[in-house]
Amino acid sequence: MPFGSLRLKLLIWYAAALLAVTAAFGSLLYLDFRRSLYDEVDGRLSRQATALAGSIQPESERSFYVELAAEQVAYFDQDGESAPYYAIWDRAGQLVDQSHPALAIPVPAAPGAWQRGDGREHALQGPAGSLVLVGQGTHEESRRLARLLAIILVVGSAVLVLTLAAGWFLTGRALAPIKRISEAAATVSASNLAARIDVAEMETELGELATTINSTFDRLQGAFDQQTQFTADASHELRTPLSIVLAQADLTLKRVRSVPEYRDALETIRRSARRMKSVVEGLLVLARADTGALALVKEEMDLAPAVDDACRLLTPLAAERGVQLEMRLEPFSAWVDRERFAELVANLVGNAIRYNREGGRVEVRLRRQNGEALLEVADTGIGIPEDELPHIFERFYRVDKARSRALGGSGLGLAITKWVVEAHGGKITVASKVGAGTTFVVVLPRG
Amino acid sequence: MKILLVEDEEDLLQVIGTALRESGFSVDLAADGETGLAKGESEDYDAIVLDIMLPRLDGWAVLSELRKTKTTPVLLLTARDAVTDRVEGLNRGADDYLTKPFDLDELIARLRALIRRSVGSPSPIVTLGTVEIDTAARTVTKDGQPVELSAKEYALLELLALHRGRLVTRTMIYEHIYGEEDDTLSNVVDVYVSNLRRKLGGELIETRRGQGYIIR
Repeated sequence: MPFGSLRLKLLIWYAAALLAVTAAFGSLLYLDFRRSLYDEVDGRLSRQATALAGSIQPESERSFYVELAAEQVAYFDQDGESAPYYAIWDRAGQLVDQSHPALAIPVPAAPGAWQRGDGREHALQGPAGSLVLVGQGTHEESRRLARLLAIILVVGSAVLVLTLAAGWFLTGRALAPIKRISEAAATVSASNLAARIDVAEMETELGELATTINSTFDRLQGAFDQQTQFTADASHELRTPLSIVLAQADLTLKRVRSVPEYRDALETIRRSARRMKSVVEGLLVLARADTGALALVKEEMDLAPAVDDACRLLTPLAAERGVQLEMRLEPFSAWVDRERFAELVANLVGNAIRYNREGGRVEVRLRRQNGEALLEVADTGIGIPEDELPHIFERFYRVDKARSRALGGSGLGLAITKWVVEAHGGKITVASKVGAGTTFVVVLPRG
Repeated sequence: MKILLVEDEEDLLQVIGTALRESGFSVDLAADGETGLAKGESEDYDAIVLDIMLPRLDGWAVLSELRKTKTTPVLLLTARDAVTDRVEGLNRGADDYLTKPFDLDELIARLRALIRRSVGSPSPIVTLGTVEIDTAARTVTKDGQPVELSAKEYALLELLALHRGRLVTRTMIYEHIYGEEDDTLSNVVDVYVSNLRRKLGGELIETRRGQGYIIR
């Protein structure tokens, strides 16, 4: 479970930091307390040692005797585990006096203060080469220190455990929305794209994440719906001509027909077959374009003759429909795919002729604008209603269904045209007025 | 039997129209939803074949609108086989559906079945005494012997037989056995009736003077 491990990782880092802080704090507290305790003991010992040194009466340079005051005698007369004691040596290191003869005190090498066993000792140089040592057990201090250590350990572990528990709970709470996001994301599948993450009660940061994921799902659903719609449309576009072929063949084969009847039947079948062919070809182009398998073969060429050629091929169609085809072409050199560019022009001009009125006009203009090629195809045709304009580049979208089919349109022409323009890094726009005509504007960059 | 065919694909409209005519139906054609609805509302067809994807007014709208006034059996033609489409069609009052592409024979068989059900006789065999009509095969026998009838004679006999026990007026006859393309000016119903009487026996069809005909 990836979230468990994240939670655990967070907790381990948290615990390590907390442990370090607690340990540092505890050690500092302990060490400081110990130092202050021992300083106190050492101060007392130092005072006693100085007083003892003052009680040494030198006899000569090398000899002396000790004469303790009454309170000193009483002070060192205590018994017990922490009772104070003293020892005095002469210059030769010979023990001269000792408060507790039972104690075996090693001769110190030099004056100073130190720990020996469970006690502190302080030694200083007395008069006449004497060495004075005063010591005291520190059992009481050790007990206080032990108690302090116990308190630090108990409180420290309690704090550690409590804060870790709180941390575990809090990270769990913080990570719970991620789990919800994950669960919601898991329920979204191809068959159920409608599921969304509930962002209502999420913290800002995770809410943003969830919103981002949701909008991704929205786009995914949009793309999927589009694909479903496209498949349904493609199926419809093929089913209809297929029905005609099948029904016509069924009908004609029912009995023996006359030659004109056979000819009519075959013509109907050919019409439908051609329609299916154009749909299938269009679908193939778009499918290859979608998967990126359709690469452009660009070459540098003058667009004007290319437009002219494409239009010339449509002159018979224009004549048949009584549409006047006018061209105003300025030379413009650009890198384009010759075949696709010709297709683009033929598509736009072909539409302009087909959806024109009898005796109408089609104007094809090519000129330079801001260093780019501007190709305009304007007709005086039936026009496109404003609410349909945004859809005309969609696959299988038809403004006038019956008319478009009757003219043998596959419903894919403009979708392919748009793809060609965009694959060249260009832009296609359309403006139209019902009853007045439609103008397509293609902008193609030089490169 | 008279059928209204609503289909926007000109080629399909003509092919199905011809096939239905050759199968003995009278056929009216409509190439868009509005025309289809106007015809469907103004006349009593025996059945309507309705495409869903239609210009101006789609099949759903035609169906919903038509159901406000008519109970004419409707067979939907759809180019989508999505279950929701079929369910919606049936829920909106369609009686049957076919998915394109379809078999012509299946379309015709389904239409006949629809019409039989709508007049309350699900069996394709109608027996009138010694005369037996097979409405599926469109054949007639008398005493077990096949009887040759012209298309219009058969259509008239079928109409009367399916409305057995009920008066069939001359207007109904004109409406049900003549399509838009037939010339209905000639007063030939009497000729068909006398031909039927000659071939099947005089007592089969009764004349209600000034009203019409009836088979008991």
